[in-house]
Amino acid sequence: MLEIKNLHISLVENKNHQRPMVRQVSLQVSPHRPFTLIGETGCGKSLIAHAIFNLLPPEMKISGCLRYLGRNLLNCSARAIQHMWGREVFLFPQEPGTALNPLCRSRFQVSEIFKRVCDTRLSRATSRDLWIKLFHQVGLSVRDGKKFPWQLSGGMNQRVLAVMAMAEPARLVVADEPTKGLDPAKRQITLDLLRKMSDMGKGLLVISHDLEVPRQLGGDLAVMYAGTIMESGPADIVLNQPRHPYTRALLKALPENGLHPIPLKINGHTFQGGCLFSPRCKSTLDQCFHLKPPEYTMKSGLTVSLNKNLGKPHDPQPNPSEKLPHIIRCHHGCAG
Amino acid sequence: MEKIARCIALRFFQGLFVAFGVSTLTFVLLMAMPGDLAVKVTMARYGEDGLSNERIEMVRTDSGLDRSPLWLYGKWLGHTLSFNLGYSMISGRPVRDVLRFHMGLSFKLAAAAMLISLILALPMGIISGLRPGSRMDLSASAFSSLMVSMPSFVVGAFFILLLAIRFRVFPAAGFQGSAHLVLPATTLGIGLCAISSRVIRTAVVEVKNSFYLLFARIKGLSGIHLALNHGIRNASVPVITFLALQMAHVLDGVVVLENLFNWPGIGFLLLESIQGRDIPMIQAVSLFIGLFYVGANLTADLICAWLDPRVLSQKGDI
Amino acid sequence: MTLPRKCGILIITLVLVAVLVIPILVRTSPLDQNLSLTLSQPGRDHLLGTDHLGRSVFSRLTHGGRISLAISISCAAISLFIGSFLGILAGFREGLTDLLIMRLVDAALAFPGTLLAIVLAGTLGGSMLTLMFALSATMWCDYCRLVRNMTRSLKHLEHVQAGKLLGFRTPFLVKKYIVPEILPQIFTLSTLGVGRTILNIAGLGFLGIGLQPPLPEWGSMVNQGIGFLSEAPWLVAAPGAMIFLTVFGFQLLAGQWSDNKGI
Repeated sequence: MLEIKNLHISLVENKNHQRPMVRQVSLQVSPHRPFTLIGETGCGKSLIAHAIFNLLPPEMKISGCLRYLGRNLLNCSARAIQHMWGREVFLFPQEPGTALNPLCRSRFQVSEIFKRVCDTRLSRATSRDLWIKLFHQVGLSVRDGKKFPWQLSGGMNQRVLAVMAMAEPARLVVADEPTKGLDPAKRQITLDLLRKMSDMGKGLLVISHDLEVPRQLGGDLAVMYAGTIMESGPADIVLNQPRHPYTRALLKALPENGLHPIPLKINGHTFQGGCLFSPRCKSTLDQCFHLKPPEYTMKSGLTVSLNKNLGKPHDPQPNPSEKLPHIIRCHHGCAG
Repeated sequence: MEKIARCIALRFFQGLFVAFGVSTLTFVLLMAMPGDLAVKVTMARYGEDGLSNERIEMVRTDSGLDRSPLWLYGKWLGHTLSFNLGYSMISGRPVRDVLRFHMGLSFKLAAAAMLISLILALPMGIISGLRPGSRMDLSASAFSSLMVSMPSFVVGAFFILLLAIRFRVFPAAGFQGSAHLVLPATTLGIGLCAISSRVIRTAVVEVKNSFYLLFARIKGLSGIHLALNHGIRNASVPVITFLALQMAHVLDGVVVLENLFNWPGIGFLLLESIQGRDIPMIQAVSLFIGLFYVGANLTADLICAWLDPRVLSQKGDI
Repeated sequence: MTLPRKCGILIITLVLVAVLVIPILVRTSPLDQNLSLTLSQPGRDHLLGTDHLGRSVFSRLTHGGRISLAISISCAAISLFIGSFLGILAGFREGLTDLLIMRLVDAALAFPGTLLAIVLAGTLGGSMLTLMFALSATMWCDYCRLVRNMTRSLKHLEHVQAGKLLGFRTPFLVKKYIVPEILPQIFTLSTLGVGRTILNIAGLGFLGIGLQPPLPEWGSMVNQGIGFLSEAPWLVAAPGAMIFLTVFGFQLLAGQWSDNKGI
């Protein structure tokens, strides 16, 4: 459904200097299989979401391939992408408080989707039935529909947003930090809503820094660090048998695993090239500091960029013509 | 609802206080004026020829000037609070009628000025709000900064010199036709627009940068529906509230400009009665203006509450 | 300091020099009439011409600013002190004191300020004292509201609360923690206030109820000049330009170039 290949986003600071923010990211989202992108703040994961919606500020330069249902979004005009908003792709925003118009009742903001986006000939009664049905699905009452966003709690507003995501004809929902700042109970509600969306057959790309999200949602998981994907694969594999030191360190930093922080810098190493995580990595080899790590694909479905000998590396920079079969072939090659 | 009730109550008491303050003030002025008041009133009523001792005594007992000041004050207050405005001390005509005539003219001027200011301010504010930092925005900003510091009577004098004396396009003074309205209303309108265009600009910028507008577009909305419900609706709240507040202040400008253009409105009347020491008239005019001011403030509060239901649920002052 | 502010300071300094220094150097009296030389054009003898009584416009202009500036600055100062004092009191004490002071503000704000000034100055005569009273009668309310709201929010900050717990007395707390915080805002408000008061004084003068002639005053100079608009436009233009320049200078100083929100 959504296929991102070698996506590169850089900030143009001046004529001669561009600072890369996202480097060669590739991922694939398909219906019924939520994809979670995990990474710490500032690693560029939100930029990917913004790139899908063409919301990047003009000083950002973008290259690579961003394919949605066969169409490369980077070649589409701004107008064409804006036409896809709501109809094809939908952004589930991180702050429900600022996303909803404070002067419109929540039922109005939901039913305008039916009337203006789905079908303009829809009668008032039908759209009423539709929003009431969806409200009940997420546990909101009809009376909540009469209220304004500022009269509802943050969790309720998030459910209103979820209702919108379900109402939209969009087949791909990108959720940007849906659990940011929520307590565990509310996080559970939000995750249930996301799973419901995924079960409806919508493609789901969740961007988060919360490891609980992929654990609950399942599907695929990619771990990002400094604009690159370090490790990706099925969520349970990445979470239970990680190969990359960064993923391991992330898991160790969880409270239930002992709350070991990832040090800011180790032994005074500074980044000179090679693996981006090398300055903070505890288990470095010599080549880590100057060699760009190759990408390995394991039997379990895990893809990892690591400077360790894990078998035959998969070509780190595939040609644009390369298609999935090649990866599968490489997959077999790793078996040994 | 409780909030609205509180706000109406506040404005109601303010209105009462204005009536009380105005009547007290005019009473004090009356007492402070030099000379025998009864003589003056008789003179005003019958003319200098009709001055006689019987008449003076009659006026004295009629109006209670022979009683104690405290009694007089009570009576004065009672009259004000029951809107019994009395008769002009100079012309002897009922204050109510005189006031009605001048009031109508002032409203005409104020309405025309508001209209002109809106016609100018809306495009100015919206264009500069949509493109902040553009050349249009900067020149609009410079224009309002200059206009805010410019006394309205100087602008008016400039218009008179240019359009009434040099080119004789519009008459400089008088109140008969709509041609007479053009210069004073334009002068006042430009002064009002200098401020309101900035308010409109701020409102537009705020809505334009808001996430809810972007999110509404991400939802797939576009066109008139989007502009109306997620743009104009939100931007209009501060603008309309401000315009209602500006109505309260419009009379400030009206008073000065009426004098310049000889437009016989309420300000003209006020000045005339101040010069003639026509106390009932001064009282009536200031009472009217004071109540209008309070009323306009109340209107602003109610409009704000009606447009933005959030106001009602917040704590603290409106 | 931003460029507009520098310009503002420059303009105000120029105006102040013109108003305070030039009358000492140029000894033409603003009141001397010369009926043989009425409405003369700006030229060498009279830099800005003469008015209908043959008085030097330049001299009247420089003398006229003194009273306007004195009144408006003292008005701003009076309002500032009364308003800030009551505002801090209301904000710090809350409860009944707050309620009473804020109702007082509501009561004063119920009156349209300009019209109150017109009635008071018009009937009591345009002496400096009446003008000052009439103009600051509602002006202090703005300061009071602002200071009260700021004090209320500042009071709950940790460092103020800590000072309170340490046993510092209220005047010390106010001096140490509240005043420095509200000073910049107060400065903006009073700078704007001076400009607005100059406009108001000029307005009253124009209506003929401000300072009484033959005292020179910018607003009344415009008023007298209006009658000779076609023959001697400089009689209106010169004082008009002075009023504009002074108010504009204060506007720039207040940092209002980019943002005029209030009335």
